[in-house]
Amino acid sequence: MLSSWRADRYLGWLLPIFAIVAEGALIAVVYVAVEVAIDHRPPLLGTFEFAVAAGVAAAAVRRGWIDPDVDAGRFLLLLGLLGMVGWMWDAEVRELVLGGDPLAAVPLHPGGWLMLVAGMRGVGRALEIDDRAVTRLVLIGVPALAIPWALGQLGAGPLRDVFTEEAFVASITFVTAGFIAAGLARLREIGRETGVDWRQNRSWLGTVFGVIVVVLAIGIPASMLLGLPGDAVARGILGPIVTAIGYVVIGGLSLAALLAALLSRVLRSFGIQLPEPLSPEEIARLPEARIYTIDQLRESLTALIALWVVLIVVIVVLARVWLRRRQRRGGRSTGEERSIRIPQRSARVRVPRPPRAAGRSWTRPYDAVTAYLAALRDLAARDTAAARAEHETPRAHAARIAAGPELGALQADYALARYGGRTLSDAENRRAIGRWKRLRKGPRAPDHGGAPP
Amino acid sequence: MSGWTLVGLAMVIVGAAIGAPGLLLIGGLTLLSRWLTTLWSRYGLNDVTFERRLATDRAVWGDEVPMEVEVWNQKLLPVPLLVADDHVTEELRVVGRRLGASDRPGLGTLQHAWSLLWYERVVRHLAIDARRRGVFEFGPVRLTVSDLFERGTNSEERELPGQLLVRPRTVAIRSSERARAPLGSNRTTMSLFPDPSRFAGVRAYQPGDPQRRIHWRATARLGEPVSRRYEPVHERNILLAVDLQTVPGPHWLMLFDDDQVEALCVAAASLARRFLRDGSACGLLLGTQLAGGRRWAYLPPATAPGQLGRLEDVLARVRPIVSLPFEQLLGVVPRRLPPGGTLVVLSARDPTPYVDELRRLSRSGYEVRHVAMGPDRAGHRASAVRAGIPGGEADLAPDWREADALVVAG
Repeated sequence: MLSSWRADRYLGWLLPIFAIVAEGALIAVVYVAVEVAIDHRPPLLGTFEFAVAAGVAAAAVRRGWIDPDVDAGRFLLLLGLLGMVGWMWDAEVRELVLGGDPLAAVPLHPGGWLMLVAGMRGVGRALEIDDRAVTRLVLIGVPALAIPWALGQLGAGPLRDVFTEEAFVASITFVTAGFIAAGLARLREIGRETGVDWRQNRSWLGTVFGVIVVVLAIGIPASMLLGLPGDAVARGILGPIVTAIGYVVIGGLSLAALLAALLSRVLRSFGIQLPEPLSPEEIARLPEARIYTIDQLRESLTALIALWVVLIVVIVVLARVWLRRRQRRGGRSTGEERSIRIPQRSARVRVPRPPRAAGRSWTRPYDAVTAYLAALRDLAARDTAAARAEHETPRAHAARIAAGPELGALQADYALARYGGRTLSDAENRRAIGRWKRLRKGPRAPDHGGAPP
Repeated sequence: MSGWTLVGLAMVIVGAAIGAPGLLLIGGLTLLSRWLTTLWSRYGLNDVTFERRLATDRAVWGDEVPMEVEVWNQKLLPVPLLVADDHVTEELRVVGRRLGASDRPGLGTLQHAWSLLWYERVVRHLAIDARRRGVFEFGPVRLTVSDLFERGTNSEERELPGQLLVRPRTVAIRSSERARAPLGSNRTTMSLFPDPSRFAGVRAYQPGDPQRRIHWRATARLGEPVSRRYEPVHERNILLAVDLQTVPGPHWLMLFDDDQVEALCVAAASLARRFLRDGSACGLLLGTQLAGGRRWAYLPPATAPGQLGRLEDVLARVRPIVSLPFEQLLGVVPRRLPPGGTLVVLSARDPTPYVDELRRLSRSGYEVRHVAMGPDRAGHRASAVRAGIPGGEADLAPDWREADALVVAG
């Protein structure tokens, strides 16, 4: 049963978001390779920009603004706009276009074409995200990354380090987002079959957390192998979020600057004198920003990564608390008890022990009764004819086999304790155990069943 | 090993050989993705325990039987989705649950789905609504774990047999005439034979009393000889023969009226309880398919403390498919029940097909009584009486579910 909770609806957005981020990351790896190996310059666009292009196309289809099957014109127009944005991202292109030579600008920035591809991929993720399609994207996309990686590493030349870093970050983003999307899509599909809404159990949280752990486990040694800065893995996992935050901050600052300019103009119109803004020359005279090396920043970067890890853990914990509170608030009585119990065997060190002899699964005698029973077992083991028959009383048995006064005394103790209901003293019990020991060491009984020599 | 795994392996080897860490990374990621996709179908079911616990293995119609289902993931690998299809008899009713379809005839599936963290143990509390008499079988259970990143699954079947026996309800017996035992036979108050196990006091010694009957202690205390006095033997051997064919015609047509079958079972259990309470030895004879494969059941009359439970267990196992004609079933009575015993025939159809057999048993020294049930009970009783068999009627009003008493007349 699908949930109608608002929080669950928001959670439902995770699946398309991760799927679109994975699409953007895959395209970003290709773009980085093309830019570095063919155009021989650092990339201008990243995962976030391609993901936004895919997301815009997906949202347009989902909202019903465009329908590629019905109205191809609007669809092509949207793709054209996306391609234009990607193409115009390059300052050189913008200059040529503004300079009236758009034809010269056409071959300049391949990012435009890839934005167009991102838009087309986004349309595919608009309505229904099939778990098989997302899994296929990851399973085929991961080995397919070898092509842009080979292209980039072979053709990057002096930009090889730039390529490695940018492609690594985008690849990590692709793997992380792709696996999370595949997992969530599969959970949703399973939920449809079983009637369990994935948003209401903890599988999704486990999936996200597990994928991040696995990516960290393979990404950190890989980044060291590639000689990348320590935060590369973290940027791969959280990069799109950080970029989004960056764009929001830029947007906020731009808005603040606009408001400040307006306010300045208004204040001046009222005759209020404000300090003049810094001229370019004055800005140039400001102390130059220091340039740091990776080695100088290593400690800070490690702290930064640790901070992010802590942040993730806190988010996970808060999400769990939130889910539990919501569950309690909803008053749902699931009739379930959940607990974490580690089985004993997992903590126990197995000590090899010598195998027990057959038929010796008894404990050592500790009183007269157990001593008599142990003596009976010993006698029966030595000679079957000396075993006590079911109909025999202990006294008759002792008289029949004539095993000596020790057995006579033992059976008397036994009869007193078992049949007479008497509590034997510790001394009597000790003496009985001693009799059992002597009986045990005694000579073997004659072989009643054997033929005479 | 799949093709993509080979590709990943090749990339790792080539990357390591030519010193291309990028290729090494992609090869590693390829291997990782392949490993992750089949992780759960390979290891998901390892160290997963499933248990089903019923609060009792016997219940009475109308009870609610608590049931616990426990699943425990005893390993570090979390299980994103574990589905347990517990096969149960399809008539079972679980409160708040609906049984799913099963590929096995006569069985349904009680489906559970969980997501389990590392070492997580979940106990689910359920309740079985015993609103249907019968034997309810549990097991086997099929555990299925699904891969998280692919559509692969892995299943395992575990036997875990279980059984719940739901006995028929019993109601009070009410006779329409006072001072008469049910079914009209007067209880014996005197007998030629005393029951030496039922001490009733002492009386003055009478010449001829055996020495062992003298109560020596009381004699010494009173100063005159007294003998022990015992309750007279008044025990009856009653065999309840239940005719479970509820629709006229040949038995092999296997037609039945479900409500009448249930009413017969309720009446039989209620009568048996009353007979046993009154000190009679009560047995049961019926010819129908029983859960477990038997075609008929005979429980000899006894007064043992567990006799009512045994009788109710047999009635719980009754299925409404008649396995042999009732007249043929009555043929076993002379071989099993000593003459002088009482045969109470409980039926919801016209007794004409087997009335000759009843007459023969009556002539053989059995006290035969016919108790008619069902909507045409008056006519059926008249048929029995016309054939010379003392007859009575029993009614569960308004029906076997709601009735608070079995009203016996005649």
